[in-house]
Amino acid sequence: MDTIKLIPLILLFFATNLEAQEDRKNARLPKWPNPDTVVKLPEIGNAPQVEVSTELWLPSTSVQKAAAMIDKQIMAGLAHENLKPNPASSDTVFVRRIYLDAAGRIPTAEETRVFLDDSSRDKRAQLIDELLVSDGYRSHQFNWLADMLRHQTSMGLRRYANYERWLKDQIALNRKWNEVVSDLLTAEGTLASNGPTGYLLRDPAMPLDNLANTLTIFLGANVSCAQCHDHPFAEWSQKDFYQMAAFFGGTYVSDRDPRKIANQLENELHSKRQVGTAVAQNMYAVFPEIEQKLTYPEDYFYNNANPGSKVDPSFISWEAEGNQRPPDFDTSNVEGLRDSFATWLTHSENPRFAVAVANRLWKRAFGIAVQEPIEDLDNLERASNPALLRELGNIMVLLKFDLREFQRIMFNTQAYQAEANITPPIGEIDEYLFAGPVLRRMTSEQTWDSILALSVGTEVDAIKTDYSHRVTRFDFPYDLMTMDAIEGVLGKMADADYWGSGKSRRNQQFPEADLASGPMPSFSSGKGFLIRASELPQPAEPFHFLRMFGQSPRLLPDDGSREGSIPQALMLMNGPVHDLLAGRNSVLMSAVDQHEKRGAKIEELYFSFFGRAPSEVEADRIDQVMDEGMSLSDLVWTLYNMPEFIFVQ
Amino acid sequence: MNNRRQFIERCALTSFGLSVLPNLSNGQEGASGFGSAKRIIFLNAQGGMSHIDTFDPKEGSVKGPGETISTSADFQVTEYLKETAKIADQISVIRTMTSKIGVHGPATYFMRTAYAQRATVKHPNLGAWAEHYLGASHDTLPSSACINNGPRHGNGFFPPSYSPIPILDPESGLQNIKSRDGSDALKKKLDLAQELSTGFLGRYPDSNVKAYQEFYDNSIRLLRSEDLAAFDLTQEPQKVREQYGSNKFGQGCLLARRLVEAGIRYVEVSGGNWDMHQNLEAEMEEVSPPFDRAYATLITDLKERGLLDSTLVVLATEFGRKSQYDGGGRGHYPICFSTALAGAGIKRGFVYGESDKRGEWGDKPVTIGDFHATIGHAAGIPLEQPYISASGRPFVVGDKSGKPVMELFA
Repeated sequence: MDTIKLIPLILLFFATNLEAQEDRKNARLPKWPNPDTVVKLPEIGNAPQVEVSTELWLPSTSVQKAAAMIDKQIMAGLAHENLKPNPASSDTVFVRRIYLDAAGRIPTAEETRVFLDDSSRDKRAQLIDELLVSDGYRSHQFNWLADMLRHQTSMGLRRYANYERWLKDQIALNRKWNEVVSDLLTAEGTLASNGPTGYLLRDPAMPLDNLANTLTIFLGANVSCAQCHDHPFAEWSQKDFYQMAAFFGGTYVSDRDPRKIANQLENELHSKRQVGTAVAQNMYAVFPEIEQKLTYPEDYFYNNANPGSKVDPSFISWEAEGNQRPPDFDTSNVEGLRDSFATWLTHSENPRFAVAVANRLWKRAFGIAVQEPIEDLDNLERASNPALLRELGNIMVLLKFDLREFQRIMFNTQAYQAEANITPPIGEIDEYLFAGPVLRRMTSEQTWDSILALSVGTEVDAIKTDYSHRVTRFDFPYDLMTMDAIEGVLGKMADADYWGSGKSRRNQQFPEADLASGPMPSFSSGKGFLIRASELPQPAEPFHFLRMFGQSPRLLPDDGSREGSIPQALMLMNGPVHDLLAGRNSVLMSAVDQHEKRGAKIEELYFSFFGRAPSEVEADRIDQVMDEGMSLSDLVWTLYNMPEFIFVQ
Repeated sequence: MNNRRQFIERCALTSFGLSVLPNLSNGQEGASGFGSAKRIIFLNAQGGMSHIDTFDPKEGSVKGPGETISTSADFQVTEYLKETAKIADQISVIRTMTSKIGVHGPATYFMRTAYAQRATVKHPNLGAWAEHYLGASHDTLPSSACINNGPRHGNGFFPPSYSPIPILDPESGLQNIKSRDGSDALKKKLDLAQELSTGFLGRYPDSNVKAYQEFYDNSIRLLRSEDLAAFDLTQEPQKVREQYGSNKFGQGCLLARRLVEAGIRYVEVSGGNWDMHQNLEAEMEEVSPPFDRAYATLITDLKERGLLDSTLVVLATEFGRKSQYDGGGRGHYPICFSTALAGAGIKRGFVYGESDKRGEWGDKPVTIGDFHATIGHAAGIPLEQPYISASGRPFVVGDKSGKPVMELFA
């Protein structure tokens, strides 16, 4: 282990006024360095892998009971409008749906057959349990979270890989939602030292935007107007918004420009960008301030506060909720401001926190939320079925915010397992009563991951990347970041040929250090690495399959799209998908080749793409066109270009 | 059901201040500028362009890092718009834009549609509005495109086929346009796919599935189009490509010119990273030159090709930035900011509205509705003729309060 005697360079970093230095001295971090301190350089490597927890703690009788309670509310809602629930879906429809909703991809022909051949009565519940503890669940859940949190693996010189690793670990460990959110809001340290700081550091210098998103995502609070003026309809006033923002006014979210320092450290050994990258992961940091500093804006318009005056932190309460109002907290202790905020936000008695996440998960499983839009729950009575929404919130609280158990219950409802409906007309979406889920196109990630499972096989689920070492290797103690320390790490990395040019590295083998576990990924010249969407850099490049099919650019929360487009159709018709599925190395084609008879080959393809056998008419027709000369490869093309492939029933 | 819908329509229209039958005498036909824009290029400066540091320079405490310079017209800009200054005599600047929303997502939606974001309805962009009233602009190419961004429900409540075709990377243009086999073989496969889908389509008469089918039809038409080359930037001389600038926005502007030239009516180009919270000076130095160059080149290029008189170039951004400046950055400011219009009957070298000394309030506020109505007027859209959505609600270009700013037309 290298050790280096450090020469302080701190004046470069904090050549600010003395007053600010005095302030920080009293705060917990950063402290001033002791020039004689000897410090270990950070390890260059990833933290040990976290396996997906297999513990489902809720007894299955309780799962069924809770599912029945949900169904009861749905039945009541339907009955009130003289509507009936849809009949139960067939096993073929169900198996495809649950694989997509729980594990993020379609089942293979083999997986489908295993399920269909299973004669046990509770095989649906068993499959749900199996999928919820799979690697696919981790991947699928991460895609959901990454879209919500606008996660990008890097922005400018900032690297969020350590944060990403942390998020994936929380999913694998099945950490409770309230704990995860609480960590996101209260984490301290740097991007390199502490993963969850990535949440507040997503928007350094934009604390108000960050807070607006926090309130929207976690509480369904429609505050996008209140940031600038009183909300015209909802209860949120601009003052409310600022009072909430004040809970973050005692936080120093560093937004200093690392390029300035990189300019000074650059030398013939290391480029400005390399130094800048090393510095940036430490400069972007969250620390407590000595006091709350948020003030009302100079152009504050209302007469309930003075422009420029300091804001007193205060929680909003929802009058309409009556005694459901969340408990008050003492906010006099400035150091604990964010802690009080997180406690309040994630409290089981906060009437909105549980409902907001339950409503989101419901939307993902059913295609439509109980209350639309998910980002505006200011009046919970506007839900299509308010009693159902309350029930979901109660269950979420009873489960202590265990999102996996919640989904387990949801997937076990008759409503989820019923036949799908078509999408209601746009004006009636917020009135939908859940006679069954709604037919929808696969998400971009589901489409990509499904194609991969067919092309390279299900082992793709086990390939996990981990880029966190690219960030944690720069984890100098914040107060000890020195020229020599930076030099030392950069030198080590140069020795390991870490900085190879981006282009050449892409064509080389997948850098092993980026792999957490699983087999080496295969590479396709047209499509890059064949790994699941969750394991690629976030978001994928603009021209990647994933983006073309609507993966969120990660600028706004929940911006993934299921819209069709001409480029999508062109991609499926003429793009490299055909090589992936019908090419020489395709797992699908080798399974098809195992069969001697044409009929069996066709059946294999039908099970692979649609999770069902072809009807007699379909089989005959295909037989006929093949007699007329259509190749197997053309048949593959035909099948994945059918809506039945990309839509989830 | 039908009666109920008619009733709702009537109520809605009455409360809306509109008659049930379109009142033709109220149309703008014949008014100056109506229908002058055969093509529209809508440039979207992402992140909120600081008006004080670009089109509305100020002195004193709010002044930004850039010096004020004079232009080929009677107004000034900052030195960050050196190239734009040379073509200032071709454009109109609106210095009194006003919006209500200061958060990127909803504000961008508002600027793009003139409607506040709602859960129950998606509002169309101007390309879809134009297609609704004026029909398709080409028989094989789509009528709108968006460059450097996804389609983002640009069709709104109109059919999905009105959605702009997304080009996420102008350099790559439209990908996957080479069919693996001849048109006969392709047709055979598509026919078979259609036939084998009969059962599925019968079970699910779903709007999204139908839309998906339509995209296939449109793609096939496009593949057979002789104008497909419009998407290919490599057909431009290297010199021209360099003039626009080797970056996504510059190449996007060039692609937009090619697309409108080929017959696509409405093209959006997004670009820039104008959200300058922390280090405005450094960020302006990075973000403004490629923008400035691309914008000025686009105007010049269109002019030289004789297209500017019939092409409206819109420069928009979701909001401006705050006047307070202490050497760091500037926050969001929707109350007063600047946009620009050029070509297609718009005055040249003109400034509409003045903001106060600090750039905080405008004397003649132009709402986003007014802005859209102005563009709609130029495009020849009958502004007072509402579209009645499936749920019986009437919608018009620029929302009901938007009025075209007639002073902007020559």
